[in-house]
Amino acid sequence: MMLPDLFALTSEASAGGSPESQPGVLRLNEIDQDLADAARDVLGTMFFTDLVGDGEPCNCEPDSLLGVCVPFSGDAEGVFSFAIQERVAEALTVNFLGMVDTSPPSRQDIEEVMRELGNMLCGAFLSRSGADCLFALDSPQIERPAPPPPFTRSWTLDESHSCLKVKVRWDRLGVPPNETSDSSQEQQPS
Amino acid sequence: MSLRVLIVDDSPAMRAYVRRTLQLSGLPVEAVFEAGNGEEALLIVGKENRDESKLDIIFTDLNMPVMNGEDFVKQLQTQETDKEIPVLVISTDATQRRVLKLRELGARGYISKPCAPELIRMKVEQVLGK
Repeated sequence: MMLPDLFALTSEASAGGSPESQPGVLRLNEIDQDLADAARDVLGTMFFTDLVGDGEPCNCEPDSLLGVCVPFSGDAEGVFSFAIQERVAEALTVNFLGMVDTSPPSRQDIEEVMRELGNMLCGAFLSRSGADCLFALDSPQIERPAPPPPFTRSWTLDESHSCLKVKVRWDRLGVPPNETSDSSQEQQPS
Repeated sequence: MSLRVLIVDDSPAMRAYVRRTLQLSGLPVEAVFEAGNGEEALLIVGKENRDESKLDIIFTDLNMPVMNGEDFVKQLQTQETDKEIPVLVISTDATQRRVLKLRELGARGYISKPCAPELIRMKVEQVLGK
């Protein structure tokens, strides 16, 4: 069915999925690429930053990381989480809220924006992995300390060589395709 | 024409993003109302959508506590005086099944997050027929 213009979706994740996509079936064979594409899309469009390094070692102290987790349910269940340095969370908050020439964002501002970042990262990733699946995202929760390794994926951001680490845990897959038969375990870092 | 807008989202950060985008868009925004869920939004619609000063457009998220975006759109459609207000859904949930369902429920448009400010402005202009 053709959608009228006002329902035309802009994200590449939302164009109806890959040719082989089926309702209720996740496409997990390209999880690394889907995570990277989701992060690029969200950070580039709404936070004015980009990923510049992929899987590079990060020297940040674990206790300097702020974490956010987003439980999701529906055609699959699990938890999406990410960790980011506190100073980078502040910089991204300034970008997102357009806080130019104002006082620094409050801790509450930073946490609200990081929750929204978690919501968007998780949604953008799931839309890519299950373009014809239905999901419900729970309210994102701040985690201090941040979730421990291993992470599914990590990148360097162009904000002062900082890092973004994401983690996906699948608790239930809807109708797993053959190639994802062992994907019920936490994804290993790449 | 000046615009009276309602933004429904449980994320204060996202409400601030949409509000700022509208204020910087060049659109003639007269008033922006905010609600944290569908139930709060219905109260604001009941109070602010009157003959002498109607709401011109509503932005709503989908995943919200108390009353989600789908139920809010459904409820809005049951009110003769309110169902004409154009509703634009802004959500990370951009699956085609969800979008088609919202269209059937009466939403007038869909914006998938992440969304650039220009896209929000463009969708508003489309909804208002500019």
